[in-house]
Amino acid sequence: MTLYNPHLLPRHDLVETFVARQPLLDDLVDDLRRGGGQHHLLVGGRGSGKTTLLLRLAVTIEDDKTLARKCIPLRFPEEQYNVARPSDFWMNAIDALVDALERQDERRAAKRLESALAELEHLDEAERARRSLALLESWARQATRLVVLLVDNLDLVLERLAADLWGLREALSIDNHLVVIGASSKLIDEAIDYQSPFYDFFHVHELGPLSEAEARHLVRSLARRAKTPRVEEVLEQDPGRFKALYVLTGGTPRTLALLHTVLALDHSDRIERDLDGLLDQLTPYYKARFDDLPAQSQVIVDKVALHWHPITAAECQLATRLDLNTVSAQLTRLVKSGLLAKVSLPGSAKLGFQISERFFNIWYLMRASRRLRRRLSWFVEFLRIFYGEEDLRRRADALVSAQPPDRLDSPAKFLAFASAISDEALRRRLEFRAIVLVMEHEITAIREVMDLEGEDVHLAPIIDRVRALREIRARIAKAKVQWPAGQTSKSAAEVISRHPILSLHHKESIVHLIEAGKPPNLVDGFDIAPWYSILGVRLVDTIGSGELPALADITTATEIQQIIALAKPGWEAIAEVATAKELFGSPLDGEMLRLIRLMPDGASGLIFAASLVLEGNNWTRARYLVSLAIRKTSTDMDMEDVAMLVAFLRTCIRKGRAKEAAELLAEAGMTERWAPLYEAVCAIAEGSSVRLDSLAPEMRVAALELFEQLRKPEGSQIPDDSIEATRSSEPPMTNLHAASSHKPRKHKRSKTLRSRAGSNPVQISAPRRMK
Amino acid sequence: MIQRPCRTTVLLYNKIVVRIENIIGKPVSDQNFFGRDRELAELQGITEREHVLLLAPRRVGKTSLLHALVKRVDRDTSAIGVYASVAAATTEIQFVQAVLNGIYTTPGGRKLKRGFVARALGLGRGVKSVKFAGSGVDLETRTPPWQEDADRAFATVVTSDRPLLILIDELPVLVLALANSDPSGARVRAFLQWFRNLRQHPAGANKLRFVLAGSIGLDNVTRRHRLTDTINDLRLWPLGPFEPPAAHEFLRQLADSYQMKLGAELCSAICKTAGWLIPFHLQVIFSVLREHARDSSPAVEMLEAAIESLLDRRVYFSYWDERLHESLGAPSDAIARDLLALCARDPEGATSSAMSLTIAQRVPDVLERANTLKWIVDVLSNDGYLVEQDGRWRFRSGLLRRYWVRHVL
Repeated sequence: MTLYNPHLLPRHDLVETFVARQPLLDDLVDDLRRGGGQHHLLVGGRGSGKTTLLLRLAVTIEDDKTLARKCIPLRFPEEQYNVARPSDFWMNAIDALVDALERQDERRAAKRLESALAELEHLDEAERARRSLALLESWARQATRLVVLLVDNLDLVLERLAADLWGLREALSIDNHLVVIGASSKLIDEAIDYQSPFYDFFHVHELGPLSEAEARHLVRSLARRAKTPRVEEVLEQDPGRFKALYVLTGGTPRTLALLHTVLALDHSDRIERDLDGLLDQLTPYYKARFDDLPAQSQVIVDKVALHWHPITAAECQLATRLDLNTVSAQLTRLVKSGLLAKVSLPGSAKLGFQISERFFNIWYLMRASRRLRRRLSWFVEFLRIFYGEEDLRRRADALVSAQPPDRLDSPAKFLAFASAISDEALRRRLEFRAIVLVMEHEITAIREVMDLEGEDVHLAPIIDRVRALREIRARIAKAKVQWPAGQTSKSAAEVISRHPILSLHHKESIVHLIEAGKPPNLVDGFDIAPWYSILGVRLVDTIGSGELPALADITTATEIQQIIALAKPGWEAIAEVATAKELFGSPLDGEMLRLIRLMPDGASGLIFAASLVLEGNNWTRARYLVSLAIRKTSTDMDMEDVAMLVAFLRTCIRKGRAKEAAELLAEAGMTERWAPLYEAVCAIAEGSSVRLDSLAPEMRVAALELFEQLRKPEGSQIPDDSIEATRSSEPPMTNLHAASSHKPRKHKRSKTLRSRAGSNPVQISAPRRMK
Repeated sequence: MIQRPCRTTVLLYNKIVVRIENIIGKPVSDQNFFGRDRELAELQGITEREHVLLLAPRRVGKTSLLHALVKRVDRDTSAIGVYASVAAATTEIQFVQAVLNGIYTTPGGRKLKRGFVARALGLGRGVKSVKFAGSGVDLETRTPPWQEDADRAFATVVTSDRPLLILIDELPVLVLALANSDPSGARVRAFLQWFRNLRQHPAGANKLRFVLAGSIGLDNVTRRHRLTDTINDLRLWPLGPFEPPAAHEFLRQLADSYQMKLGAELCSAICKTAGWLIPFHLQVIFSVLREHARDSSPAVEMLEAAIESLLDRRVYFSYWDERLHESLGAPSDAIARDLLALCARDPEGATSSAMSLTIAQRVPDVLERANTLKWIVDVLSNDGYLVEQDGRWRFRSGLLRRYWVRHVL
């Protein structure tokens, strides 16, 4: 099928493939049947079907015996570049008439006209124009036929005859058996300008996008003709897919014709290549459309296309750095021409601008993007529109999960998918894979392919971190060190670089020591294996790869959320986060602490961290963490929280902070509801259990028991029933019911945690973080 | 034998059953020219005594009316009707050529063509120069000026046994071209003065009557170039819209021609949408309604959808919005917008006093405001935005007004 040159289409094919614009064709034919007194102008963008319609009209006239007796269609070249004066136009018309007569086997008439035409060559312009027009009119009068001038690119002709438009108008205003049916890619100013000779002279027909029904009819017809039953099947069975194609093509007949076979593409991985090929076919057409634009319009269209989503005039102005008035005027012009569409922005009164034909935008992204993230965004957007969000997610998932990765999957593809995915965790994984691939392929000019100051700015810390970890591994591997038995530079590099707690700064300090010939003992405290069971395999591996920061390097609430989301469920992970920050990094700020507090098991984690902080003799900080954990929650603390609190209190007592602990409990409102516990701590602070004698009997028993247990040495477990008894027994029936129904979780503490809680966690002297 | 009665019957049928083709843009004649009987009679009556300057904005139907007047006077043989469009003329000689050609192509005017004069004026031949009375002088460079040859030609023309009613279309285009070619104004003054003299010549008093018409107002052009004395002999005669009954009948006949039924309610709705009832506006709306109706009967609800599709032609309508700045510049375009906004709000438009009040804040000085208002309203009128009717300035096009309300205000 000839899509760019309908003139080359055989007659039969032209008739068979003409399915859009039938109603307009019928109207034009009807008008000719009624006498053809009206001049017409068809206005439509490239690919809208103007030329095809003109050619089809010519064939219709010739094929209809009655109409052929009344009319003769004159086909002009698509661009009449030779027209500079009125005589050129009329002589072109006579040439076209000669062709038409020869086609109809009226050779004698054709020859007479040719001879008459030749006689006009030597005349001056005014006379030649007059006589050539007269020749045409004379023939029409004698033949009693209406001469139908099918003038493509009429705007070009009128532009070239600008100085003679009144004369041309006069010629077309009299009853001389001439009718013009012209076509133009834009509404001609001369047809709108009130002062212009051709103001409202033509009956204008705008060839807008096909309606969905018309487009479906066209595609069905094309599929039957091309014998692609798969396309017809999809039309019937998957209307959503057709709708997506319709949206992508903007209802433009040529684009629909070129791309309708996209419907037959399946979900396989070949789709990218197949689509690539199809879009290549569109290149001459789309490139021409873009090249047609004036320079300033091209600048605007470039920004709009690269933006993909609707862009406001203000955003476009920022991107182009052009004057806002210029931008607004250009945007308006581009909307008028149909290249851009104005769309409402959700949740805003403003309007945005986007490329109206989405496939054009996809094509542009394919060709124009230097940045990795944009390079394949065209493909991803196609998938999203064509297959939907679910399929897009499925492909993204498969992409990131593939082990080993397909060697054809480029970083660009990962980034493109990342841009399109709303699932944050998946998006992060995709971006990380892109970073890893970029680094593996040693794309040194990473700043060339990633917009690290723009849309990829959030990747900069990850890139730095991955680089730093690689460097750490490399430096350790290079260091000439005598490793203790059972350790190698490779194993050391892994352990240190992948440690989930230690900050980068801390790790670098260790590397310095190694390079100085003082490698640490990596067995005690550095073993990663226990962390898998505390934090979970996923989190440890994610931190180890550099995708997420080590716990001591957390700086944002987002990172905390990401880490907790990946961690094994339970208070341990939270505790480790809090502890790592308190001990190895900069303490968590109020916002992050509040975030942690709100998480399930957040209170337990904070209290545990407080215990370790207190071991470091930082009472103020420990107090702060506990009061944050238990404030306003004293009525809804679960058994886990209480157990953790009791452990903390033991530490307080051991550290001689019993009085302060009692004050803390009082401030937290725990004097009544948690009376046994509170009274026990007060008694310890006073150094005697005398005050407990004045308690009510049921409370006295519990308090006395806690009094004993809290003073026991480190390492001894507090029985569950004691923990249960920390709460006041009121009403007694409720408490019994609660006690009998509650199955406390085994607050198993790993050896590591216990050892950490009881010992100085800082095994090596870690230089303070440089401010 | 049988064919003849059949053909006659068909012709008779066609004569009785009027078919108006919906032709937009091109001047119409014969059965496609509807109504205007009162206007034709009035204009014909005036031209028996006076020369006329036919005033009307574009697309009102001036040219079609002129053609109809030609046919009318030819039919009743009261005069030789001559139509001549001088739009393509850019020089005085071309003007004279066009008018004389118009005369000589009529059956009555053919015999008025005198050989040597016609040759002198280059009529009927493609020659640049003529040996005139053996002098061997090239006409293009000779003196006396072209008026003398033109005078001689018209001196022959007035010998006609019947009066000539010469209808000259698009004269302001030539006048503007002449004015632009000579900024001093001498050339255009000389031309208009000559033409006035021709009109006033005693020899032509009973034989020559002129009707001058144009898309651009000749009165505006002459006022701008201070040439009003050259046309003060012309009777100003405006051509306005149809009266509502005529508009209804026009629509009904159009509908009949296309086998459609338009009820009174629908006709009223069309007229209301059109606003200013010139044939062009009615035809445009009828055309789009017909496209929407296809094979079904049109209804008022369908009209709304049809109008919406017309208003969707943003390219066309937004042009009117944008050109304000191009033609007036700042801050006059802002004043123009204020005026248009006022006129748009009411389909009947606004009075001059209301318009003056509207721009009072922008132009506080009373005298300056009056001048500014006059100038800008002139421009808006000349450029097709507004027309004056019954003392109010209203949008010329009801569709444009609707677009203005919807998208510009």
